[in-house]
Amino acid sequence: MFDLMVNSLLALFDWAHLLALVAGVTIGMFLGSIPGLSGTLGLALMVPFTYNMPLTVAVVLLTATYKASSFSGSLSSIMLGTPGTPAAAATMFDGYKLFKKGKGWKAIQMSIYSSATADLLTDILLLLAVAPMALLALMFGPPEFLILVALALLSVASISETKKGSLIKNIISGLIGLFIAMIGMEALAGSPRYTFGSTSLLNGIDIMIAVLGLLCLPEVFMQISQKVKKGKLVKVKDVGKEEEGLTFLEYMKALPSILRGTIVGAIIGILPGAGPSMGAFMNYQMEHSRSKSRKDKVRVGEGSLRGVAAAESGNSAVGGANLIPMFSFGIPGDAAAAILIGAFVIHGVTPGPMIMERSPDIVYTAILGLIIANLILIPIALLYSKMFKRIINKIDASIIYPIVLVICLAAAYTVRQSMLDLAIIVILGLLGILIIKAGFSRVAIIIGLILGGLTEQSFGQTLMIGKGSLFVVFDRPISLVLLTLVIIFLLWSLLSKAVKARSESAKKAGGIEQ
Amino acid sequence: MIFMYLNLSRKGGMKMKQISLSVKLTLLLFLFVLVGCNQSTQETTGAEAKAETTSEQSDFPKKPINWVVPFGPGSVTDLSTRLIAEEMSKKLGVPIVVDNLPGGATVLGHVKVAQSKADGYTVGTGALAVEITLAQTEAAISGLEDLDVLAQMGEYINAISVSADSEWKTLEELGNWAAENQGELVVTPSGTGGITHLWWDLVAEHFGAEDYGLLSATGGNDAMLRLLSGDSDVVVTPLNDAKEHVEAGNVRILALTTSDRVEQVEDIPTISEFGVENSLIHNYLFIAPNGLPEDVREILLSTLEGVLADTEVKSKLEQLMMNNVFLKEEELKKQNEKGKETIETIMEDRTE
Repeated sequence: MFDLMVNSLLALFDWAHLLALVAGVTIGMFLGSIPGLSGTLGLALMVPFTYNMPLTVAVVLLTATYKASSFSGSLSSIMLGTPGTPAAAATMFDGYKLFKKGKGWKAIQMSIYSSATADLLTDILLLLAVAPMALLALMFGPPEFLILVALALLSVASISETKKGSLIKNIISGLIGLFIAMIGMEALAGSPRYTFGSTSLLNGIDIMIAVLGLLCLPEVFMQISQKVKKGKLVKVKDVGKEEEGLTFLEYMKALPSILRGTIVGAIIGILPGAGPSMGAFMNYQMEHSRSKSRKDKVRVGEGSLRGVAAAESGNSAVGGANLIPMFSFGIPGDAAAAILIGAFVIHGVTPGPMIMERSPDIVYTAILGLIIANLILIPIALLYSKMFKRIINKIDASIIYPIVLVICLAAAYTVRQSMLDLAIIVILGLLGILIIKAGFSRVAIIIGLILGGLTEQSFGQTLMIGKGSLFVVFDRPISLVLLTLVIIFLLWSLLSKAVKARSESAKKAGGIEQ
Repeated sequence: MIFMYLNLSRKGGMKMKQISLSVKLTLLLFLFVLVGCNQSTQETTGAEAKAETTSEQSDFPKKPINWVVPFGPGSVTDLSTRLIAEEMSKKLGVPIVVDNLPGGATVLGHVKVAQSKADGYTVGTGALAVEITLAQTEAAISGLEDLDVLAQMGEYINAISVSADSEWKTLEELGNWAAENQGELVVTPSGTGGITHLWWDLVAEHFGAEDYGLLSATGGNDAMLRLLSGDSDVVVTPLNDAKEHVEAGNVRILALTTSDRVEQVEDIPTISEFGVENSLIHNYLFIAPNGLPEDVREILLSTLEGVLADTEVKSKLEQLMMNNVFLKEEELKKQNEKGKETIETIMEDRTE
């Protein structure tokens, strides 16, 4: 096994592989930084070009593209407030606030380093333990998934976007998201719901459409309306003084959240269907609640570097770990992995339980390729974000945001070539402004939408396994452990709130008596 | 915070720099457009060259063709379609864009094709199996007759598998066990309410084991995972999803659902060998909206036939565990009608 690894590693250092890595990272970075163009689309476009390449070159090219595109979604999140991918939405909270405070460069560097660290660690884990980690995917049946999804939904409820937010408003937002997820054909038997007879709605509202509509457009609309009101052109950000970079101390301070992100992301990544946005949000939420109890000077959510690190490490770790169900079961963890499987099969290698025996070299090449792509990504990302930042700094907001608007509309059309989707994102964009003003959480809506289908499916399957009863979650060891954790988490937050309320009311009561 | 207006000063000297930068940007954009155009001109010239050889009067196709696949990326249907589409695209000289539209037990994909413009630029992969869903639910189309079914590209090979460490060595043992232990067996077909589900109903009816637990899955791979994790006892999935696990020694295939034994896996019996009366066909079809212009239809059909006659394509499809049975025109019509009848009978039995 060690020989093979060394051989694969050496094979990667010829010009074709290195060129593929650099090209993949560059192309992926460009695609990912444009709102609405996801890595999946990039991969789908790249696959035909790889038909005539040797398999290993094709594999490293595709994995490098995948990696870089999932990273660079954070750039537009931080600098424009318009996340390029659903996974980068959590980065927006702190990243965009830091950017507005003039600490954008710090945020970008933090996102690069935390992303690379988390991914590197998962890749190494992947290299050492594909087989044992794959067992986790087997142990996670529908009941376990149901609990995990419920936990993710709950954790999103605790993040408020604005100061007007509250737990109740966030829960309502999450439920709205779940409702939107109901539009279309239901997952278990395929009966249509809320489609009003329209075939375009049979497939529901695509997550990308919701992200573009709810997260990108409101920012664009507000920026444009403010510019119009003012009547003159203003830069997105002044370039008066050169911004400070990230210090080593700041990185070390964020390291615990990066490591946590690695673990959370790796676990989420192993489970097919969960995806990077879940990894990002779950880790971000943990950092968010820890920040409260730590009494940070700058809380997570108000422009904290730790928040950026948590979100970025959470989503990046998923990318590498996603390859585990792919290599061990042939099950794609997300749409991008599915395209990778297709590319493998076209080259005559079927990912699945036999791949480690039949062509272990391919597996090692893919994983080592990811590791090297990660190392290449750092300098390229620094260079690219510097360029990106310069462009944004130099051009008027009144020029950039209309461009972003056009890109968003075009991206929405590419999702399904449906004009209905365009109408939907504009409506969602306008609703998004109201949602922000009323203090509801757009992100909770998005997470509700992402998890809606999964929730319903795992709920139905759990009922089936339990022969009509949900008590099956108590019979299975892993679900029992998870459930206990969820209950402790809930009780803890309720208790701490109750204690706080009591002490406050006691103080008040005392005041009246005197 | 988000409303905070960025009140920033504007420097007079920036104007020149800004212009030069926007010029650069415009140039960059222009470059992209150029690259795009360059590509498409190449493709169109290719198309013209090909069109001359295939048909004198028609200039079809002039632009990329959209190919709707009613399954997600990475599925067997998706991979087979991509393979065929790629070869057809080479022959037609225009790119063929595969558009995955999974969900609704393939109804969505069929509807999308049926409702698109009948100009040959939207085609799709369909299946007779869609009739099963259409027999149960109201949809924008009532059946395959609302579509132009040009050809059958091949047949799926489905397998009934159990875990390798289970006690069931043959389908008969499994069937008898299920009959004695009514309601105990947990079955996962790759698509609930789909054709793999119907096949299990046929088997269950034959052995008198109609009472079984149904655990739904999102596809063949997902069903396999349910089997490996022990949540499910039997799965009915495409053979492709099962074969890797068989080689790894985790799964045992008890029977295939095809009408005859399949060349690639000759030692596996079919369900009819166990006495199950099997008249279902699981094929994948080349579909288009009704009312295609005759010349366009001819070009599409002859290109497809040419591609599917290619030995290399055939062997690649065999690797995906597809049964290469090409059918068109009358033969296909007859077979699909028979298949639809069978499905309707089963569905009627079920509702009774």
